[in-house]
Amino acid sequence: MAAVLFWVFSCVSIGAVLAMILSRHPAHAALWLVLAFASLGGLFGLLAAPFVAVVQIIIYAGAIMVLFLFVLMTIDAKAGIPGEKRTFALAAAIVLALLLLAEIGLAARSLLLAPAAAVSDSIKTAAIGRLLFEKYLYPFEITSLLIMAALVGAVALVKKKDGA
Amino acid sequence: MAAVKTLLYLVVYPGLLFLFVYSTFCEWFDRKVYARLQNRMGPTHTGRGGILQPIADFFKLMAKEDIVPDRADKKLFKALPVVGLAVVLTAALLLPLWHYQPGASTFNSFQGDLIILLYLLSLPTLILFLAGWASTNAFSIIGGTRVLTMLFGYEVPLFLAVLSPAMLAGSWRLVEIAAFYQHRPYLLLVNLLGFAVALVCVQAKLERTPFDIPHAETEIVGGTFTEYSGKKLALFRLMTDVEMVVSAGLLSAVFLGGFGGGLILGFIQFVLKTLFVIFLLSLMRALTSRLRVDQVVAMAWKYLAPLAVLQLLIVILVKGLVL
Repeated sequence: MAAVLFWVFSCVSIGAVLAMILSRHPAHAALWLVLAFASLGGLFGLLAAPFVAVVQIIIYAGAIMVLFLFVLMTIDAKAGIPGEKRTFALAAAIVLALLLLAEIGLAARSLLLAPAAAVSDSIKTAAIGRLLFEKYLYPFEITSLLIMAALVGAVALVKKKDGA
Repeated sequence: MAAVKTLLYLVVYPGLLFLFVYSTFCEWFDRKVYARLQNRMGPTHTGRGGILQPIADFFKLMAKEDIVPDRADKKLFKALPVVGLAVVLTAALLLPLWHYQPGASTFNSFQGDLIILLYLLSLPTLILFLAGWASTNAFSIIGGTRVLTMLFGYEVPLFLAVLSPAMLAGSWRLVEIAAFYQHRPYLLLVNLLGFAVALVCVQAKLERTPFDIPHAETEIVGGTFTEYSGKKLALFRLMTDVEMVVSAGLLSAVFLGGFGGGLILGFIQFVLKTLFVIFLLSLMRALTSRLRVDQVVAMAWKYLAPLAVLQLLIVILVKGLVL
């Protein structure tokens, strides 16, 4: 059962990501990404990590994608990149793709060489909370500060100059 | 035997068949209560007391001409009603009616199903927004943006309000929350404030008066549904009905002690409690008139969210002092 589910979820997520890359309309791409995130959530669920699975679905497939779609649909994104910028975009995309490939290769090599560490049966939500508030308290709080700065920045950017 | 049970669960009760019949019954109940409160008769024609009217409406719409606008995003436009109905039907399967094991997790009841259910109930809102956007009609798009604007208002207080009884019960699983309150019914009184907040939020989620802003027919024709007709509109209306039943079921599972006592007793409790919640929602619909969208968001953040936080504080206090 778990094996069948694993293959279903992985095929759906790979297919959805491919469809996301290949679809021309940005809103369709965003919807495919929602599907990819949802099936990734399913994979996390199969790995006995319910907290990560739920967070993946609610925060990524839920909240962030709603905001993303909202932005995509209020601006007219159909036009795409203008012609004179296309060579630069292509070059940047190739460089980024190579970097990403190298990183995936490194990660895969270390994973294949070192035997997988035994994952505990179920990563309890309480244990994650304890880790966040004890061991990783400073990074956690610094992240919240960063998000706060981003929020204030966004408000400052959209605020009209005349104070209205 | 287990496979037969699962199949029965998926198709008959509380799956497809039961949900179709019961959600149309709930629509009739809602319309009848609403009409009586306004000194009208409501549906009278089809069946005894008009009880079959929603089903008649459904089949009438199914037989009507189905038009897809030329400039619409056709694939999305056609897929959305089906996906929306599938989502709410899936959400209904998570209501703890029967076929669950208290100790172990099954496909319909597991640790965290409360959160999954809340998420599945917020998906129809996104689908309505996409429906408005895919129609490429000015009225639909305005309706769609209003759907999302409202979502940003009521979603946070709803989640906070529904999660506070779960915190008191110390579980994210609907069956365990319900069992906790069945053992200590007096603790349900602690959550009254949260229940009120959640009721208002569910009313907003279902886009009923005073929150019927996304399809305010005096301003923006049919809102999100302007371009929808025939089968697709019928499916959307069924989706809204099932969503009402599932939301009422969620509120009764979390705030009213759930549906314990096996198949028959659980069924009776389910019907009584969901009808009670739907009666309250109809009452709210009859008592109020439409707000503006900015008033909804302001109300949600100024009153509903702080009240939900207050409920959370009360719960933490009670948990520390009593339990």
